[in-house]
Amino acid sequence: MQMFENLPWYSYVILVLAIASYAYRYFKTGKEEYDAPELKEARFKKSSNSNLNEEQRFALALYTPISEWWKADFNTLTFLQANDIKPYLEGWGIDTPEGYWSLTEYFMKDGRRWYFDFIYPMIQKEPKEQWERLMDEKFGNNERAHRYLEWLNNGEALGTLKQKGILTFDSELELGVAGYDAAVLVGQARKAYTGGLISEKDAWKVIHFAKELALRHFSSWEEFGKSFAIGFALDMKADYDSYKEQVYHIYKQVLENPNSPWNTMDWPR
Amino acid sequence: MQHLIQKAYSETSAALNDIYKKRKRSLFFQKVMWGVTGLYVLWMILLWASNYFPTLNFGFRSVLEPYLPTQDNPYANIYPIVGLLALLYPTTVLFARAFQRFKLREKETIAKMIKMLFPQVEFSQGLPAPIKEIVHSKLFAWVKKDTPIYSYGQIRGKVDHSTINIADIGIVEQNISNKVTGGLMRIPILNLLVVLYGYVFRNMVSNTSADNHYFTYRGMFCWLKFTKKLDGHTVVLPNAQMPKWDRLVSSNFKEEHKMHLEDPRFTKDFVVYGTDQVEARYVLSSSLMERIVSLKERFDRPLYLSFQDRQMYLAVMNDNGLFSFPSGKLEGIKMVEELVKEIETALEISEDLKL
Repeated sequence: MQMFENLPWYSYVILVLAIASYAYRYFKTGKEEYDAPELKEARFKKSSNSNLNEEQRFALALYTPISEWWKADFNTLTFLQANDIKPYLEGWGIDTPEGYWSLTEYFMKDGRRWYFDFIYPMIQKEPKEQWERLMDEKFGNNERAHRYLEWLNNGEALGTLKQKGILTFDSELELGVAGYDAAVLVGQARKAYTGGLISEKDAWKVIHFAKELALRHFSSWEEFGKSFAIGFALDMKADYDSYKEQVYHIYKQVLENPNSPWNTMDWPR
Repeated sequence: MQHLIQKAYSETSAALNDIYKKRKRSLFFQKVMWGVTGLYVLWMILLWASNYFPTLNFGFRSVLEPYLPTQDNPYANIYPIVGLLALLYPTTVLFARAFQRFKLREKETIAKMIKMLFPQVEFSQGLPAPIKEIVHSKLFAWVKKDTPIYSYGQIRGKVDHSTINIADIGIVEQNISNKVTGGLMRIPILNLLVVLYGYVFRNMVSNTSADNHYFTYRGMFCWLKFTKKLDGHTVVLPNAQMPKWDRLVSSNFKEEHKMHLEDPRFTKDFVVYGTDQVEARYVLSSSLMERIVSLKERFDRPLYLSFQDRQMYLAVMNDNGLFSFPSGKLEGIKMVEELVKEIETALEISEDLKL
């Protein structure tokens, strides 16, 4: 400590400022590092007992980015174990057959397309002064609808997806969110079947519907994937940031990894 | 097109003037920041020299004298170091802010200009660099997946039925020169001299933005469909010493050889590497070679091309970048005309090369 004894007064000021500045940066950076999500590597796990045909495997592959997050097999109708997915079913309010069918019918008929297909064209075509009235007429006091409006209008969803290299141009938003709806239908059917809420036959009926929905809207895995990502980015609330980061990271692997079902199965022409 | 150029220039001239001022401000802080760093490094060298060669009589020994450690004041040499470090912090913050403001303004203006000049194309900024395409192109001898590559914008345009992507990129390759510099940075004292020259001196005397100094490649990078189906790859590089050296020393393309072609006009400007001599001749028909030479004349800059998997890649070096404005006063319509010429030529590649 002897070295600090003979310093002029301003040296102490500089020293204190330097220590405070570095301490602030250290703790700020340290916190960011601590909060950073743990990014998972996709493994594309598959069961050797799977006897699904190509059409069925294609339909299940619609849910790959999320099923990889869960580390589930991508080639079986069952999705992990019933206990693993119980909290998910409860969280979505689909832990009873009635709850499941109510949400599934909604996703089949409207889904998140109901929001996007109204709000996105409204932003493009209608004058801003009209938005509040139009939103009220269509959605009333709907928190999700207002989030879609906010994130589509301020470019947050587009900016994030561009930054992640998922979207490249603004016009890609026109792909809509049907891809996300189709993926959710597949994922929830698998989980409901695993949880014993629906029969195998019913699960395949829903999955078949999701497949047709995807085929009707898209002509490649790339297009479908972009639509899935748009829907996912808009649908997850801001406090799901860490989960979003993880899914975006997996999404890119699903798109690029040669072992991914999106690269081993062709999109039907 | 001329009236569009005129319109774009008149509608952005105020912004261009503002960009010039913002760049000037950012360059001022760049010089101050590196000046302080230079003083710090110089001080460290002098301290080292005075310790190891105490008998040497420096020209400014009298300046150094009060700061040399004595029995009464053993830490005298520390004060200037602390002072310089304390000074470095605010200058870095000021530079970073000025640079950010300049870049933001430049980004907005270039987006507005491109929208006005080329309403038929899509333009996007804030994207990650197209690393997959750059690695796949095999144009850059040292590029790997983890090489730092930056994107300054991307255009997607359609001419007839073909789509072309045009990106403005900056690459910092670990090429021979950077590897040698990296080696020198591990040697005490020599690393200080490298910092003095490579960072301090170059940034102090230059009028270009700091980031552009460190790129081993800056300019346009395009990719588009190629009509012929290929099994291997064929790469066309400028006939200059550096690309040839890099190709020779890099171990990334062991499977390729130098290709021999007969067209003297083409071989005067370009050197060709590929995996198959027959395929290279199939790709580079005499008419295509002729068109590549004309394309080089149109761009009037070093040109790189590669062909593989029904895909063609093209890179055109441009030290200022495609979607950045040149340094100096941004006056005169010529600058907008240059931008239009570059983008128009790129958009017409498919037609020009008859792909």
